[in-house]
Amino acid sequence: MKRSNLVVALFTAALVALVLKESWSGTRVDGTAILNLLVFALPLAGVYAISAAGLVVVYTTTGIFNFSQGAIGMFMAYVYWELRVHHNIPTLIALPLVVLVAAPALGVGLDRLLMRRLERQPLVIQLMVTVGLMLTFMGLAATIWDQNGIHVMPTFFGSGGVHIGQVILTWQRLTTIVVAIVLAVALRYLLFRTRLGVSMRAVVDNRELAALAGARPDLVSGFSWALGCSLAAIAGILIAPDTGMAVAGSLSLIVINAFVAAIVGRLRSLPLTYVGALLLAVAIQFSQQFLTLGQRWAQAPLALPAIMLFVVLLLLPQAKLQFGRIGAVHRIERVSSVRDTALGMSVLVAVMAGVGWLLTRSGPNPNLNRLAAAMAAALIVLSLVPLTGWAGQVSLAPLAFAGFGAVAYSKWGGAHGSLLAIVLATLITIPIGAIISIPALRLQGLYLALATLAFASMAEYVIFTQPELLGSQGAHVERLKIFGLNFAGDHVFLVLITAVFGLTSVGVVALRRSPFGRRLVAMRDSEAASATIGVSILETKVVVFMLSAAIAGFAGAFLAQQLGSLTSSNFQMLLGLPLVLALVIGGVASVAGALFAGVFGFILIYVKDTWHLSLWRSLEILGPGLTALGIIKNPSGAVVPIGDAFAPLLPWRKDAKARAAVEKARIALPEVGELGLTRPFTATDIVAIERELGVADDLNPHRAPLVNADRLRNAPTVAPSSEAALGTP
Amino acid sequence: MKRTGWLALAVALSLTIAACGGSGKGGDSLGGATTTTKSGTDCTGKTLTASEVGVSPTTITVTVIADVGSPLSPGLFQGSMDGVKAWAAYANANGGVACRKIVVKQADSKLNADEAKNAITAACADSTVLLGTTALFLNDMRGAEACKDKAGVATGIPDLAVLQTEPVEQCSAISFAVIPNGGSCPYSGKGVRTFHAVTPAIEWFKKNVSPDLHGIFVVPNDLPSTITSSTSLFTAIEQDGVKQDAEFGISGIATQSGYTPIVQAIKSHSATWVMNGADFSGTLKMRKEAAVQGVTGVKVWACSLQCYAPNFIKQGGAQVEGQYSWLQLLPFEDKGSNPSLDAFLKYDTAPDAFGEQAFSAGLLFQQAIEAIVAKSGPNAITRSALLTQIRTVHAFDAGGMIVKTDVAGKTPSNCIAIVQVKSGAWVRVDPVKKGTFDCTEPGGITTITLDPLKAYHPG
Repeated sequence: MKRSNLVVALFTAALVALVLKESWSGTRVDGTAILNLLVFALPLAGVYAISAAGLVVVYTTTGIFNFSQGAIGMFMAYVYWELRVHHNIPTLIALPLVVLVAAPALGVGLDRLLMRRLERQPLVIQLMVTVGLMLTFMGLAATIWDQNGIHVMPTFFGSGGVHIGQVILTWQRLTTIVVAIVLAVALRYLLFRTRLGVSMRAVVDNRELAALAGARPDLVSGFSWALGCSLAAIAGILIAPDTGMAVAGSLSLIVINAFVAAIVGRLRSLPLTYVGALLLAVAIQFSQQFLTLGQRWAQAPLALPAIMLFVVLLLLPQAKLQFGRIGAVHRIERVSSVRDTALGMSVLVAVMAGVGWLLTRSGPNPNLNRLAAAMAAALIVLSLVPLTGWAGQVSLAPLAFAGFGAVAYSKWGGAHGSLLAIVLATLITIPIGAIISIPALRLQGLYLALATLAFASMAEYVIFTQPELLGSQGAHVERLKIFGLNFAGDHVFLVLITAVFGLTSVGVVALRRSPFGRRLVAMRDSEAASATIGVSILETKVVVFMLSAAIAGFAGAFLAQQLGSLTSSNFQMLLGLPLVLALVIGGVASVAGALFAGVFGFILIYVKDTWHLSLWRSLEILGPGLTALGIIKNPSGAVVPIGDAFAPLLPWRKDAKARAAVEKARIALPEVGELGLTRPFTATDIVAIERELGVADDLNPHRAPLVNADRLRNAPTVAPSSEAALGTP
Repeated sequence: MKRTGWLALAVALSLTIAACGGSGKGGDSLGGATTTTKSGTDCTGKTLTASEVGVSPTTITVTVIADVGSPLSPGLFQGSMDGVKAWAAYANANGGVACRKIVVKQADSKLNADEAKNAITAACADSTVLLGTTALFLNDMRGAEACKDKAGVATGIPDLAVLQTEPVEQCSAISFAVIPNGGSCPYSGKGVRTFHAVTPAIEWFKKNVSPDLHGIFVVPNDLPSTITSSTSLFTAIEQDGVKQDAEFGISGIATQSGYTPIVQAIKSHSATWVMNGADFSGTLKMRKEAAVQGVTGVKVWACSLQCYAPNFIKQGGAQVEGQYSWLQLLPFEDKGSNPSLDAFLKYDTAPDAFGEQAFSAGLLFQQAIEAIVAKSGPNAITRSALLTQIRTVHAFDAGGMIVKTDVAGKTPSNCIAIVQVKSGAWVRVDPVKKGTFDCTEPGGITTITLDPLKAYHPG
C-alpha cells in the first residue's frame, strides 16, 4: 500500500473509532443484531447496486457520468405508475412496456440527440448537461403529475414476506435483492460472453481502435444508454413504493448513493460496484441501529454517503499524466482586454445604478434585492472561471466555499458591517482551498468533481451545522459600513455589489492575460505538455484552488450581506449545482458567463412574477434544464453568440463581426484527428490548421481580417473518403 | 435535495403550532366576538380616504406570503393562499371591510428565505397587512419591522401568521399567530428556551387509552428547526408521563425501509406509544412499515396537526387505521356546527388545516379593523392603529372555529379536539360533540426549559 493511501486509511480508521467511541448507543452486537442489520441493508443495497450498474455501464462505454440516472428512474417509475395504476394495465404488460420499451427508447433518444455530441466536450459540460437533464426530468414529472395528488405505487407480490430472524423481508424487497443478483449475472454474461459485450469493452479501451477492428461505437453507445435507462427504470420502480413518490425526494436522489457504489467499483468493475452498494447500505443502517448521533452531529447521518465517497476517492490511486492521447476539446476562448473589461464593468455599474433608481421610484421594490442576489451569485461563480474555465479543474462546491466566507463574515465583524470581516472571510477560505486541493493533486477530472461534490455535502451537514458557527437558529449580519458610508439600503448595496463584481472581474481578466493565466490554460490543454516545458503542475493547481477559494470566500461575505440572515440551509450542496449549471450555460471561461449565470436566475423569477401566466411557471421549472441542453450546440456558452450579436453596436468594437468570423473558423488541435474520419476534411480546415500552427500569413486578424474571412468562406470542400467517413474499416 | 428539508420542516412546524395555543382569560376589546356576521360598518355620508399604504377609498389590499411555487414541490402551502382568498371572498360578499373591498395579493416565498424577504418588501409598498403568512424559511423580520407607513414612520407591517417557524418571527413585535407558538420571547436563537407545550391530549390518552404509555419518538433531523420543534414537544410529553423507550432521528425524505429499525425497536420494546415529528408522509411510511412487520401492540399512534391532511387517509388506507391527531381547530367533519367553519368550507373549494387558519387570520384582521372603525371611523385605518388593536386581543376564536387564543400574549391554549382514523375516516373522540373543544384536561400546558438541540439524543 502506498504511503498516502496508508495515511488516508489510518486517518479514516481513527475517525471511525472516534465516532464509535463517542456515539455508541450501547446496543448489543450479537448474531440477531447482525442478521437484522443485513436484512435491513440488503434491499437498499440492491437498489443502489442496480442504479450504480447503470451509471457504470454508461460511463465505461461513453465516458459520460450521468447525474440524471436517478431522475430518469424516477420519471420511469411515474410512467409505470401511470400505466399500472392510472390506466390499470396489468403488471405483466406495464412492466415490460416501461423497462424494455419506454426506457430503452428514451436512452437511444438521449444518445442520438444529446450524448453523442458530448463526446470530447470538456468534463464540466458533460456533467452539467446531465445535471440539466436531471432538472428537466424532475420538472417534467412535477408538471405532468400533480405533486399534491395521490401516487401510491403497488408492491410486487402483495404485502407479505418471509421471516428472517425478527424481521419480515417483504416480497417487494426480496424481489429487489433477487433482481439485483440476476442483473449482476446477466450483465457479467453480456459483457464477457456476447459479441456486443466484447464490443462494449473494446470501445471502452480505445474507441478508434475498436472501430477499426469492426466494432460499431455508435451502436454500442446507443445500446449502453438504452441499458442504462432500463437499469434506472428498474431501480426506480423497485424503490418507488418505499419512497412516497416525491419527485424531489429519495426517488431522484438515490443517484447520490449510487455514486458511492460506482466509485468503489472505480467506474469499471461491476462486482466491486455491488460491494460498494452493500457497504454503503450497511453503513447507513449501522449508524441508525448502533449509533447515537445527536446534538451537533444530528445531521451527520445525512452526510454519510458523501463522507464515504470522499474517503473512497482519497484511497483511489493517484492519477497519472496522460501521454499520447487527446482529451477533451478546448477551443481557445476569446479573452477581453483589461481595458475593455473595465469599460464594460463601468457600464454595468451605471446600468445597475440606473435600474435601481427606476425600481425605487415607486417605493420599496423586491427586484432590487433580487438583482443584488443575482450579482452575489455571479460573484460566486466567478470563482470558477479561473479554476474550471481556464485550469480545467472541475469544482462543484463554489457555494460551499462561499459558505465558509459567509460564516467567517458573520463571526468576525459581520454583525457590524465591518470591512475587516470581508478581508478575513477572504483569507480564511484560502487554506480551505489549499486543503481541498490535496485531492486535486491526486485526482483528475470526474473524480475531482465528485470529491468537491462530497466536500460540499459534508460542509452542509457536518460543518455549517455546528452551533458555534451559525447558531442553531442562524446568524444575522449587517451590510458594509465604511468611512461613514452605510450600504444597508437595497439600492446602494446593489451598486456596491455590482462594482465589487466589476472590480473582481477586471482582476480575473488581468490574471488570465498574465503568465500565470497562460500557465493555467496550458495545464488545461495538456498537463503532460505543460510539465515538459517546466510548468509545475502541483504548484499551479494549489495556487489556482486557493485563488478560487479566496474569490468564493470574498463572494460569500457579500452573499451574507445580501441575505442578511444565515443558516446552514443557505449553502446546500444541491443549490450549488444550478449555479455551476448557469455558469456553463453562460460560458465557463469568461467573466461575462459569470454575469450571465447570475442574471439568468433573476430573469426567470422576474418574468414569472411580472406576468402571471402558467406558461412562465412551467418555464421556471423546466427552463434551466432545457437551457442546459442548449450547451451542446454552443459549448462556449451563451455569452459568445450574444456578444457577437451586440458587440458591433459598440463604437469601439466595429471590427467585432470580422473578428468573430475569424474566431469561428479556428479549429482546436484535438479535432484534427477527426478530419477525414468522422467529419469531412475541407480546405477550410487546412486554413484553420495553418492558423493554429502559426504557418499562415494572415494570422493577425487586425491586419487582414476580411481577407481571411473571405478566404474561409470561399474555401472548397474536399469529400472525405467513404470508408473513413463511416468509421468502418 | 436538501430542499427536501422542507418536508420534515413542514411537519415540525405544524407540530409546533399544534403544540401551542392560547387560553388567556383576560378581557379584550373584541372579547372573542364572532366576526362572521355581515359587516356592520356604516359609512353613509362619509368620504373615504386612502388612510394608509394599501388602503384606498374603495379597497384594502392584503398580502399572503406562502411557499407554494417551489418548482419541485408546487402547491405546498396553497391552502394558506386559498384560505385568505376564501376569507376575502366571504368578506366582500358581506359588504367588505370598513366599506371597502378586500384585494388579496399573493406572494410566493418558494421555500426560500430571500424570496420571503422580497415578498415582505413588496407588501410593505402596497399592502396594509400580511395575512396568513406560511413561509417556512422566514428568518429575517427586520424588513417587516422597519416598513414605513404612509406617514413615513417605521411602524412595521402587521403580520397575522399561520406558521411561525423561526424565533425571529415568533418573537417579532409586529407578528402574531392565530394559534401562537409556545416558545418564550425574547430568544436569541441558541441555548436554553422555555416552551409552553400543548399536551392535554396526553392526559386524555392516559385516562382513556392506557395509564402507563411508553414507546418511541421519532425526530426529523433535516434541519435544526425540525429538531428543535420536535424535541421540545417530546420532552413535554415525557414530562407528562409517557415514558421514552427510545428516540430516533430520521430524514424527512427517508424511504419506508429506513423505518425498519425503528419498527423493530417498537416491537422489541413492546411500545404502546409511537410519535413521529416528521410530516404526514413520514408517519405514513412508518405506519406502512409497521403493518408490514406485523406490529400490533401500539395503543397510541400519536400525531398532532400534521396528520390531519386530506391525503393521509387516501394514501394510507387501512394501514393508518387508529391514528390519533389532536387539533386546535375544528375538523372539517364538523361542518354544520359552526358558522365560521361553514363559511370557510363554502368559500374554500380545497380546504385544509392551513387554509382554516389563514381564514381565521382574515377574521382576526376584519375584527380588528371593525373595532378601529367603530372607535375612530373608517378613515382611521392605519398599520399603527391595527397593531395597537391587535395587541389588545387576548381571546380570539374566529367565531369558535379555533381554540380561544391569546393572540397578543402569544400564549398557548389548553384546549384541543382529538380525532382518530376509524373505518377510513376521521372521527371525533374528544370531545365527541361537534363544534366544541375539550378544555377540561388538567395540566394541559406543560412548561419546560431546555436547549432543544442538546435534548436530542437518538438511539
